Amino acid sequence: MATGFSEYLSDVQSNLNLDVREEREVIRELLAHLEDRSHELVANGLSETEATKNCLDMLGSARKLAREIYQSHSRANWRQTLLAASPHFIFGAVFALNWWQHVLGMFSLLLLVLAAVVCGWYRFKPKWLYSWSSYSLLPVIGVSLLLLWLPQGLAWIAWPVYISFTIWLINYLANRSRSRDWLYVSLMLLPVPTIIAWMLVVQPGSAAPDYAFSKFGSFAPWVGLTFMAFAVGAAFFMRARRRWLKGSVLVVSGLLSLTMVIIYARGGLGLTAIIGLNVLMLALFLAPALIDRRAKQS
Amino acid sequence: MTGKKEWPQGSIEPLLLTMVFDRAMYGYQIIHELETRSDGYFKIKEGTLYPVLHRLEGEGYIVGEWKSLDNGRQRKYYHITRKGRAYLAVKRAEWRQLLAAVTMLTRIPLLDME
Repeated sequence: MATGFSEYLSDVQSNLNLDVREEREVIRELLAHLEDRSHELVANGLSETEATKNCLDMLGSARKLAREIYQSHSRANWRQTLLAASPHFIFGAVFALNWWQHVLGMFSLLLLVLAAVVCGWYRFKPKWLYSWSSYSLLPVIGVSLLLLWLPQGLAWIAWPVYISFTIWLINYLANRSRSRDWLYVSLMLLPVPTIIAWMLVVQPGSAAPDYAFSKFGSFAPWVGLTFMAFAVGAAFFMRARRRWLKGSVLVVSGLLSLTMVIIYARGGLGLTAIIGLNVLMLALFLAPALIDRRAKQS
Repeated sequence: MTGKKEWPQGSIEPLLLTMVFDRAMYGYQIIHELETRSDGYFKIKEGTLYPVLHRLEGEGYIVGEWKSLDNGRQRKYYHITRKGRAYLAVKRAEWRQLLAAVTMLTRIPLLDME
């Protein structure tokens, strides 16, 4: 392969943001095209250098080509869109209709989610997998709930360990998902700040479990509504073609859900908590991008 | 797409579907065939071709398949699907209507415009 082609194709590949298999296929097709065109030009009397330059001029800017090819691939079909929105919709319905109190049902639902995630993760990592993966993080968030009941002395040790583990887990997931656009990892992490916000509103550590349980019951329909907002956000995300639009959908639906929590909590969240949750949301949105960038640079 | 004259927007997709209607073709071949069969009227910019082909593939109008040429090189051949044929039929009907309307208009002497 001519050096000019190699540099150009590597520039295209680094801007494609598709999954690895799709990227390889696109590059293979473009290389075949460049070779065909180059052979024809050389046969017509051009030098190798002139032919290479002419070929690359005909394809135009590598970044523009990569962006347009990305947009051709980025819109999920309706089946994938429905599958991506469905976990948020299911959890939304569970809370909105107050079915969350059926322990067996909730346990079965979590098992279903875990089965879907494991199945998807080890097979093709389909686009819809990432919104299902959000709910496989529920046990991690659940542990933080248990930590609230720890005696004061133990909490000082447990919380740093827990936070370190959570950061490691996010880093691990982002690295494992590097074959896919980092925006999908952000989609996966999107509900985390809202779930934490609801937990802070209920404040289970400050009261008896029965009280927290009944307090949560009064908020459950609103919790359901925030999950429904995620369902709509996930559907828009899957159908959007442009990257900036996908990113904007994530930020807007994250902020919208947090705003809904703040409104429904009616003063249940302090200013520090509100600022902290917004910072956490932005950090979770941007962390996969930074991890991806660092990995590409290295 | 570059041509001698303006061409209605959104016509590139049906044109590409027309090219792969009878037989499967790969990208470079499509560019050549389109230019040859339109007597040089339609020239697709190479950077435009692949995003459109991939979009058509994503919509399920065409399917790409890697095949080996006689010289051993591999090329991605695209062929039209049933969904693509149905879409093309609709587009062709629109073209015929447009052509009929333009023909009717150009037959009328435009006296008041002269």
